[in-house]
Amino acid sequence: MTCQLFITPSGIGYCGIVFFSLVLAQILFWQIAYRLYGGVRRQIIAVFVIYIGIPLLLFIFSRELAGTLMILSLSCAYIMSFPAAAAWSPSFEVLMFVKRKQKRQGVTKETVLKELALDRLVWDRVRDLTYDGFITGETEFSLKPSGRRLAALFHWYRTVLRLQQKGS
Amino acid sequence: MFLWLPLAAPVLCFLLHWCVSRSPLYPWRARQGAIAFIALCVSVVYGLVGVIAYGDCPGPTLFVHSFYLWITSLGLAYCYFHVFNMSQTARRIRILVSWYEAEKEGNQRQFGIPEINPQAIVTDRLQLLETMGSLEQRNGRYFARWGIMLAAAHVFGFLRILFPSFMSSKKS
Repeated sequence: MTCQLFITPSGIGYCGIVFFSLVLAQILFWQIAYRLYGGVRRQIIAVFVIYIGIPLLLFIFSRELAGTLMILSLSCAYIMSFPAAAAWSPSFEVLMFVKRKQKRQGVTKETVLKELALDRLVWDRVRDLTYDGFITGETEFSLKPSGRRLAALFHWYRTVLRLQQKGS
Repeated sequence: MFLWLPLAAPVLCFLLHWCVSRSPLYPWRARQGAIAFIALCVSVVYGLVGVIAYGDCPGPTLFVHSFYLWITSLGLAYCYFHVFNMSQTARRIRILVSWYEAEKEGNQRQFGIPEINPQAIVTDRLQLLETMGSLEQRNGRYFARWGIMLAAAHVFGFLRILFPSFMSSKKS
């Protein structure tokens, strides 16, 4: 059985159908895990299995190389966006808070800071790192090898591009 | 060869970004808009390569090949943009990198809660949203304005219902 080495309209259709099915599969899995266990603990791994593992498995049967590459490209873009969306960016939180509370008179900066500038902005992220297996500990934390590798990669990246200034 | 071509898109983005960081355009190296522009340009160039390479083919073939090159490279170039974005703003990456640097500098292996001031995070975001036009200030009070950011916030709010998880804090 040979691979489909050229992209065809059916390859693009294959990509669309499979990617849409993967999103549905993820919704189903997340809803079930939330009801049974309160959520998915290792989200990154689960997302990788769904969006990278399944298309690779399907490739064995379909031999649709071009379509699979297209799915993997979309999957990578999705995987990159998913943690940021799930973690709920402070920008979105601030915007939705102002929208909810503004009525006719608006919201003062002090109110926004009082309601949103909480320690959980940092605590939640430390908890996420623990759940994702990058760090270990409860009150004192240490980097696990996977966390150290990821940090080293970003440290190198920031140094090479002279991005010394850290964002918020 | 044709199929694998888009895999080079993130590398091209990185090389262009590296060139920016070592040129008179240096201040642009840390701007999200500039890196998003680089990513978009790279994907458009890929699409044009398809148009040129398959220019003699019938319409549907030309479209399918150009579309494949454009969408596949766009997905991967977007990944590069996101890596850059994460390195700049993600709190998780900030925490990991700060602990890693502390480990490298000394022998510290245990860390407490990172010293990131929540007030500074929220103040920065207020300024950012005002600059982007998503918030406006009248008489010292903030008002939300309809636009891409507010629409995106609603979309992500909906996604949090579809993907309930530990990560998405129920309190917020």
